[in-house]
Amino acid sequence: MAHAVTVDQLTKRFGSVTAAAGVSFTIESGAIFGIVGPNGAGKTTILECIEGLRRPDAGRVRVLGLDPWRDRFELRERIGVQLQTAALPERIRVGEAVALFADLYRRRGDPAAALRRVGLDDRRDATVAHLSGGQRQRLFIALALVHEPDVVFLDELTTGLDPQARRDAWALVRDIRARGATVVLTTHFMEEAERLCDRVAIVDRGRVVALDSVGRLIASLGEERRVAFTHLGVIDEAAVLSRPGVVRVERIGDRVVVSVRGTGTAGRVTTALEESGVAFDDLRVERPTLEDVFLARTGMPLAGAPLAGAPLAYAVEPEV
Amino acid sequence: MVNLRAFRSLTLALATLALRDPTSVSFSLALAPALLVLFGLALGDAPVPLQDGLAAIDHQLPAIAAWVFAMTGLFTVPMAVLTRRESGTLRRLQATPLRPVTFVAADVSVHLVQVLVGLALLFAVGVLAFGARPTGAPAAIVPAALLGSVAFLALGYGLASVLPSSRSTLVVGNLLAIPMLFLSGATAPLEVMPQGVRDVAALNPLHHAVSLLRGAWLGEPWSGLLVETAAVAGLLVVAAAVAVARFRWEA
Repeated sequence: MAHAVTVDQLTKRFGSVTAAAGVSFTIESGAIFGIVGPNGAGKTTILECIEGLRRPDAGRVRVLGLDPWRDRFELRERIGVQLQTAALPERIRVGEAVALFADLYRRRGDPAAALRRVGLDDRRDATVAHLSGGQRQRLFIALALVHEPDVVFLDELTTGLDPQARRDAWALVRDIRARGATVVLTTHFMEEAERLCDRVAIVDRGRVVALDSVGRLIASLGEERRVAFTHLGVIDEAAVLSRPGVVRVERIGDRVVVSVRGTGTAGRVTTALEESGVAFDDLRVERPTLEDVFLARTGMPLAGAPLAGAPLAYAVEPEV
Repeated sequence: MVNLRAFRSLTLALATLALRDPTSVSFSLALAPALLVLFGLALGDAPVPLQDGLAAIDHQLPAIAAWVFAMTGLFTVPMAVLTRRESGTLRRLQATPLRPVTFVAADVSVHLVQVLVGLALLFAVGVLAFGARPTGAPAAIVPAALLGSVAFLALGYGLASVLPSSRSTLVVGNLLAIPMLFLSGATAPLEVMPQGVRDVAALNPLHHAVSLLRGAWLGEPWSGLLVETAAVAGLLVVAAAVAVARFRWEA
């Protein structure tokens, strides 16, 4: 089957709040698909309608050819779910929890292997009460994987994790896909979506505002790049602006930001700078990120993210 | 469609968790004998005024047994289910193929075993320490105790499915428990009460459960306990129907 998930005009309301308003997308088998957007955008509602945990008010959803609400018990045999809000009894041991969940599925899983995959095999006898936040999250991933599901759903997997635990979680997600499963995740970290996802749906106020691969979404901004450097002397802004491909020159304190467009322009600006003999320092070539895509599509910056235009919103490109 | 492996594994896990909670286990096991000791000390071996030649302990022991399963159904079960619902542990189970009926069956089994062990302790203390002597056969007493226990456990799941929060269980449990106890015939004999009160008591399932258990203990034939049996079985059917129809995994 080419498509693991098909969502067509999905709508879900809670009272007067419309959490999903005509959401449509498809997810290819074996892909990592991201539903991204700010908190409260409707990501979890969309995910839970796909998982069969909520009944859509309108629209058509198919997962592995099944209707997630009507065929929910059959579908749940074949999907693995990590929920944003869920718990385990504090007194249950790690090994017991994974063995119990393995027994809830018809497909026979291997609890010991699931614990090894998430690196919790040495904590098998610890109770849930004694786990750190990161360990709990890994246990919930093990519970979602123990029956070798065909589609794995991860809701805000890395929220609240420290940077190292987040990187570990990303490695786990790539490992899930490498074993052939389709991964559907939600995140409000654009960097996470950029690093992990083959395709993303950017969601804002219940609507999909962008749907494509991360690369194409960023390219849709016009391939604008920024050459930024620290320069304490005087710079002839007009001369820089007159070069082909240069869009804008800005000075923020002693930092100069040259916005450029077109293949190879960033490299030519850098070379010209070096050849000009002026003293400069801390040169970086930056490219736009998904956050800039969000800004471009919604006209609003992501809550909590730096305003567009500020260099922080741009990721550093490793090589030019 | 019910996955027996799931049922077995979940029952085992729930039993393990119950045993790891020493306060709740000792409470459920010690409640019945403790109540008996209190009443036994208060009553001594004086005969019951209204019934010639009947030792008070044989009149009271079946009533205490009925209280024990009624308290479990009115308080312990809804509190346990709602606490799990509010903490999110039921929500995590919802995302698996586990069916509500399998979960309830496993949870009922664990509570039922606790109740039955408590009742066995109660009867043992009654016979060994207070000289209770059942006239009825175990073949009548055991089914009566079993039916009453299952019916009131079902009431607990019915309550859990309609109550909004674990905090509300104490209020609603007390609102139900106090009149149920008062009008059960276990605390004060209904025979001396006005007709109006006795009419209301006829609607009280605990009253019928007490009469059923007491009748079985005192050796009354089943044919004389049909109304009581039907009333307790009716509670079971209604409560179980509500519990299944209104079951909710999440708060």
